[in-house]
Amino acid sequence: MTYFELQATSHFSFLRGASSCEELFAHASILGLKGLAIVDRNSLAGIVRAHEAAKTTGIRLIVGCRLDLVDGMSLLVYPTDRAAYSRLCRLLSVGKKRGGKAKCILEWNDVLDWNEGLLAALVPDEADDACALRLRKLRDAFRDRAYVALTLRRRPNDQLRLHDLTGLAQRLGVRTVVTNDVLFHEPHRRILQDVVTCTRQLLLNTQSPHLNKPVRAASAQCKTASRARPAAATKAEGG
Amino acid sequence: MLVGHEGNRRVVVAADAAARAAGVGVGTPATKAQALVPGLAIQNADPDDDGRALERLAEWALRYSPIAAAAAPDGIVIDTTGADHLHGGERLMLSDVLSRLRQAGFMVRAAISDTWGASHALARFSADDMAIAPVGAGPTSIAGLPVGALRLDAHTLNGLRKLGFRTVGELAATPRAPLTLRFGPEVCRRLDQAHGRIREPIDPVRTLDIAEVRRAFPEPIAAPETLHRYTGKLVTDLAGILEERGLGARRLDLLFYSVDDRIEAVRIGTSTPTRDLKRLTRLLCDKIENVDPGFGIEVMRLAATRAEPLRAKQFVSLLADDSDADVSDLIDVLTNRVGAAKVYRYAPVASDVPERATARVPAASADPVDDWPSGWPRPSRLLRPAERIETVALLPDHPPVAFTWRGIRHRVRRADGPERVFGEWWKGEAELVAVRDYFQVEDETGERFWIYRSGDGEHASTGSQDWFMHGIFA
Repeated sequence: MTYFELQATSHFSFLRGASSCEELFAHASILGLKGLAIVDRNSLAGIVRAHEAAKTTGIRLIVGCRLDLVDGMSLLVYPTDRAAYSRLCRLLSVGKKRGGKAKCILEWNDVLDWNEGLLAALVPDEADDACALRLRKLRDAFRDRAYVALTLRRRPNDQLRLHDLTGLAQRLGVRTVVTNDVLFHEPHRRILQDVVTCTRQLLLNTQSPHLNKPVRAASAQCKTASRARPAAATKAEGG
Repeated sequence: MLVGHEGNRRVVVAADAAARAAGVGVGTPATKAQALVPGLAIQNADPDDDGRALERLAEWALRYSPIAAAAAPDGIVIDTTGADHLHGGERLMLSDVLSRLRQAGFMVRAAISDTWGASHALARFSADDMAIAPVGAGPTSIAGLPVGALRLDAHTLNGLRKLGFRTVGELAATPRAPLTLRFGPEVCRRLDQAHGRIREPIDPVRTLDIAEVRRAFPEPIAAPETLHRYTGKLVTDLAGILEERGLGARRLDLLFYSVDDRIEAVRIGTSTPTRDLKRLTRLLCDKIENVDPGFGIEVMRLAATRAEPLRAKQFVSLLADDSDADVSDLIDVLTNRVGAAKVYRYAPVASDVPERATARVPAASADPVDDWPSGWPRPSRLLRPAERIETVALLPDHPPVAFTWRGIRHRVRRADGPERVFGEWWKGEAELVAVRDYFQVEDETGERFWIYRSGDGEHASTGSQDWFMHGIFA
C-alpha cells in the first residue's frame, strides 16, 4: 500500500511547524513516501521551497494549504489545476488584505466564492453536532470534492473518535482520507516544536483563556527555555 | 573564637573547629591563645546578647510545641509531649528542627528523651547529632556518657574526675550519701533530674503580642467536668480579645499549671481563622482527656499563638440554602487527632505525566483554579510505582493481545489507544526523548486496566519497550 502524506506543516507556518521543507522531503525519502503535501496555515509561502526539495528528492509534491477560518473551522484544500491554484491565491489575498500584517481573516463565504477546482478535507475535532454541521456545509459546497481527514492524535478515546467520525462521514456521504499531522521531521525536533508552541501560547495567553493545559504549564517552563535558545527560535522565524 | 571574663582573667569561652585544631580550647587564657596562634581572630563574648538571641530562637521553637524555653548558655528545650504527632512523629519532627536550623546557619545537635536532663546530655554528648531515647530508656541511654553531660559546675566536675568517675553510669551506681557529703546536694539532684525521679518544669517563653487569657483558682481543680467548664470560660474571654483586634485563631495553646510544679499543655490548630466558641471549646475539650491533672490545677492559661485577620462577614439568609456545607469543622477535628500531614485533598497539576498530574494540598485550601481535563478516562487507582507485566503485543501501535500481571493471565478483549505521553524534557535530561504509549484495555471478565509501554515501539532510545500496569479503572 502506498501512503501519501497529505498534512505536513513546514516552518512557513510561523510558530507551528518546526522543520523546513527540505528537511521534510529528505526525511520523507528516507521513509519511502511517494508523495508529500505541504499545507501551511493560510499560506502558500512554503510551496516554492517545497517544489525545489521535491525536485531534488524525486518525491511528488502535493500543493496544498490549510485554511483556518474565523469561526474555528479548519480545512485542508488542494488545487487540482493551475486555475484552481490561482483561485486559492486569490482567496488568500482576500483574507490577508482584510487581516493586515501577519493575519489572514477568512470566512466560509470566501471559501464558497473561490472553491472551484479545489479538493477539500475537513480537519475535525470531536464527532459532535458542530462537526456534523461543518461537514454538511463542506459537502454542499464541494460535493464530490469533499473529504474528512482522519488523524490519529494519540489522545484518549482516539479509536472511538475515529470510529464516530467515519460513521458521521458515511451518513453524510463524504469520503474519508487518512492523514497525519506532521509538524517536524524527526523526534528530536519535538523540543523546538514545544518551544515554538509555548511561544505562540504565551503570545495568546492574555487573549485566550482556554488553552491546552499541559502546554500552558509547559509554557511557563519554556519561557526560560526559549530565551535560552535564541538560535533555535530564530531558525523558526527565519522561514 | 570568643573571649570572655572569668574573674579577672580573660579566657576563651568559645572556639570553632579551626581554633580547636590549633590547640586553643575553652578555658585557655586569651594571652596564651594569642601566643599559640598569631593573627588569631578574637571577638568579645556578649552573654546578654547571646541570651536574647536564644530567647528569640525559643520563640521560634514555639511552632513545634507550646512549651519551649531557652536553656542558657547554648540550648533550647522543648516539651514535645502531645505535639509530635502533629509533625509526623518524633523522628520527623526532630529532623525538621535540625534541617530548618541548619538552613539558618546554626550548628545543631538535638535529642528527644523522657527528661530534660537526659535530653541535655544526649544532645551534647551522644555520637549522633540526632538522638532519640525510647520511653523509659533515659537512664540507660545516658549511662555511657561522660559526667560532663550532667549539668554540673566546673569545680564539681573537676572533683568528680579526680575521684575517677568517668561516666554517668558509674556515678549513678555509687552510694549517694558520700557523694552528697563531698559535693553537696547538686550532684544527686542533677542525676535525679536526668533519671526523671524529680520534676523539672520548663518555664515556657511567651511572645508579647499574642492574645492570652489566664485564670487562677483558689482551690486546685482536677475533675474533667470542671476543666471543661473553665476551658469554655477561657475560650469566651479569648474570643472577646480576638474580636476586639479583628483576629481569628489559627492555633491555640492551653496550659495547665499543676500544684506539683508541672505544666501540661494542649495545642490545637484550625484550618481557617475562627472565633467560634463552640468549635474551639470542642477541639480543646477533645484533648483535655490526655491531660493528667495530678494533684490539681492551679492556673490555666489560654493563648492564641497564631492568629489571622478575621473580619465580620454578613451572611445572606435564603429560604433555599444551597451553599455547600462547611466542612472546616470536621477538618479541624481530624487534623488535631491524626496530624496535619494526613488530612489533605488532591488538586490537579497541569502535566501530561500521570504521576505528576496531582498534588496534595491542605484540606482547607480553596478550590483549585485548574480543572481536570474532561472526557479523558483516567483510572481511579494509580499504582505507584507501575508494575511490570508480560505481554504479547504487535509493535508499534497495537495493544497487547494478552498480558500477565501478578501471575494472572488476562486476555484482552477490547482496547483503546495508544495515548502518547512524552517526557517533560524541561524537567531533566533523562526525559529528553522518553515516550510512553498508554492503552486502556478490557479483559474477558470486563475488568479495565491502564497499561503502558515504555518507549514508542520503534526507537530504542525512547524507552525500554517493556510493558507496565499503571492503573485500575473502577
